[in-house]
Amino acid sequence: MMNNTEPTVYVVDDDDAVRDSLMDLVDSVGLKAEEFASAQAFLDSYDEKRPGCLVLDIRMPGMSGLDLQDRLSEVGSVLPIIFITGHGDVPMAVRAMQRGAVDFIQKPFRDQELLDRINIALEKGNQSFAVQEQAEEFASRVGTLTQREREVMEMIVNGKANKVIAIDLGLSQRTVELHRARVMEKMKARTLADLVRMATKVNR
Amino acid sequence: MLLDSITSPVSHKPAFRIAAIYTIIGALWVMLSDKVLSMMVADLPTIVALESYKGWVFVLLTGILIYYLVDTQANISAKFQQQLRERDDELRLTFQNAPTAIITFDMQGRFLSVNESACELFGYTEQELRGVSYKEITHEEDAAQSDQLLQQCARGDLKTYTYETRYVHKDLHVIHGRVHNATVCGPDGRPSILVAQVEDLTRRRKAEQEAREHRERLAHVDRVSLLGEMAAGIAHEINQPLTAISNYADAARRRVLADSADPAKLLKSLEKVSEQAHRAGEVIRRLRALVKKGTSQRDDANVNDLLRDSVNLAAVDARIHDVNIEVDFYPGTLKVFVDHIQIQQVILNLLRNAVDATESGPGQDRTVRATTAIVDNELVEVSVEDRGVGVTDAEGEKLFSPFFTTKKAGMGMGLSISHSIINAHGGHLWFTRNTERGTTFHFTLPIEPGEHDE
Repeated sequence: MMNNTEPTVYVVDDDDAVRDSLMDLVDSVGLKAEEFASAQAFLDSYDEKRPGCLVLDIRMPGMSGLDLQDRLSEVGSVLPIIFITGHGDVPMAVRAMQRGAVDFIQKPFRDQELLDRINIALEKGNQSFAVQEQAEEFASRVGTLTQREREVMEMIVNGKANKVIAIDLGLSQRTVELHRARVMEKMKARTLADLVRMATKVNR
Repeated sequence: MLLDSITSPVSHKPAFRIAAIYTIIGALWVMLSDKVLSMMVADLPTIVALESYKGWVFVLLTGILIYYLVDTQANISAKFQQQLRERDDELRLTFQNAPTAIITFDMQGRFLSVNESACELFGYTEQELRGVSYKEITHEEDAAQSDQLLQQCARGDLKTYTYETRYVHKDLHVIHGRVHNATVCGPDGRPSILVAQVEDLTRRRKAEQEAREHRERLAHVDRVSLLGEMAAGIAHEINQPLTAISNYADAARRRVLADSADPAKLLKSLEKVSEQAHRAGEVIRRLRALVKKGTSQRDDANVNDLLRDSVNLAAVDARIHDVNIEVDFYPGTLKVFVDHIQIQQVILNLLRNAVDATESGPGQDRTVRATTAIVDNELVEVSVEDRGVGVTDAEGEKLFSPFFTTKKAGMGMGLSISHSIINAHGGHLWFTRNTERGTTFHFTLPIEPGEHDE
C-alpha cells in the first residue's frame, strides 16, 4: 500500500484524553497518526516495514514504555522513540535515553517543542528506515551468492589479494578472479569501495 | 413547700375518746350512784346527808379522769409532733442536700420547689424560680418535646418517664440533663405534682464533644499527611488533564492559523478542552474535600461510590509504585449514613498501606484487591487485600495503636485514626491473614435499613 510508506506518528498512551489530544495536535499539522491505548496493542500491530516515530508514555499499567523500548530493540526495530514523562520521571527518562531513545519531553509541554521533536524523529526515522531498507536489499543480494562466492567476498572485503585468497581456499588464481567477477555482478557493485560499503551495512 | 402539707392523720380522735369516756362514766354515775349508795348505807338521814356531797365527789372523780386523759393525749401528741418534725427535717435535709437536682412542678410546669443542687445547676435562687414555668430555662429547641411529655403526664397517660433535654443556665451556658420524672396524684386521684430529678450530663457531653473534636483534628492531620504521601500521584492526576487541555488548545490554534480550519474538528477540540478542565476541577474538588478542616457531618452514601472515589485517588499513586488496584463492587446500592470524608479517609489509608505492603512484598502478583459486600443482611463490609509480607503476632497487637508504624516514612496514625473513625460509626475494623500471602483489612458499617437492592 502506498499509504504505508508515508511516515506515521504512533501515539501510545493509556490516558484516553492525553492520547486523544496528542492525536488532535499531530493531526492539526497534517501529520498521519495512529493511536494505541497500550504498549501491547502497539506491539501486536507493529509492522517494521512502516516508517515513522513513536510518541510513548513512559508510565503505563501492564507493559511500560521502557518495556516496549526493550521489546522493540529485541526485534531490531529502528523506530525512533520520543518518551513523554511526568513530573519526577527524569531518572527513568535518562535510562530511556541511554538505551537509544531519541528524546523525552516532560508533561505538560509546549506544542512546538513536541512537534519539533516529532519532526526530528521522523527525519531520523526516514534515514534509518532508508538505511535499513538498503541493508535489507544488500542482504538479499548476498543471499543470491553461492557459499564459495560468499567466502571470496568476505576475504575481498577484508582486503586480501586474489593471490592470497587462492592459496587460502586452495583454488587457482583464475578461479578466484571468476568468483570475484560474479560477486561484483550479483552485488551490483561497480568498485571495490562499493562492495565494502555494502558489506559493512549488511553486517551491522 | 411540699413538706409543709404533711399533717397528722389522727388529730380528731383523742377528743372523741375523752368525750366518750366522760359520757360513759357520767351515765354510769347517774344510773348507778343512788343504788350503790343505798346498798352501802341503810340509814336514810345519812343517805340524804351524803347525797349533797355525791355531786362534789363526781366532779372530783371526773376532774381527775379528764386531767389524766388529756395529759396522756398531750404527751402522745407531743411525741408524734416531735417524730413528725424529725421526719420532716430528715426529708428536708435529704431533699436540700441531694447531689442530684430535684424539682417539683405543678401540672402547668411551674416550679413549686427546688433543692440546692437544682439552684446550683440552673444558677437561680429558689425565690427566683418559684412560680416560673420550666419553659423559661429550657433550651428553645427542646421546649416542644418537654411540653408534649408534660401534657401526656397531665392527662395521666404517663406516670414516670426519663428523657434528655437541654436547659439554659442563668449565665447563658447550655446544660445537658437527663430528667427522671414521676407524678404524684392529689386527693381527687388526678396528677397534681411532678417530681423531677435532673442528672447533669453537661460534663460528660463536653468530654464527648472534646473527644470528638480531638479525633477530628487527628483525622485532619492524618488526611493531610496521607495526601502528602500521595503527592506524586496527585500531581500526575492533575497534570494529565492539563496536558490534554494544552494539546487540544494548541491544535485548535494551529487549525485556525492554517486557515483551513474544519469547524467540526475545531469544535471537537474546544469541547474536549472544557471536558478536561472539568476533569482537573474534579480532582481538585476531591482533594479540597479531604484537606478541609470541618466538623463531622453525616449523610446518606453508597459505599460503592465512596470506594470508587478513593480508588480513583489512590490508583495513580499505586501505579507509580507499579501496583495495580482491582475492585470488586457489590452489585447494588450499599446505603449507609456516614461522614463521607472520614470513610474515604479510612479506605485511602487501607489502600495506601496495601499498596506499600504489596510493593515491598516478595511476590510477582502486584495487585491490591478491594471488595464490598453485605454481611448478615445488616452490615456493609469493605475488604482490602494486599500481597505483602504479612503481619507478625507482635505487630498485630500494636497495629491499631497510635504512632505504631513499620514504614520508613509515615506517622503511624492511619490505622489508629481509621479504627476510631469506624468505631464512632458503629462499625468494626480488623485484619485477617491471607492463606497464601499478605493481609486483608476489613471494616463494617451498619447498613441503612431496606435500601440495598439485589
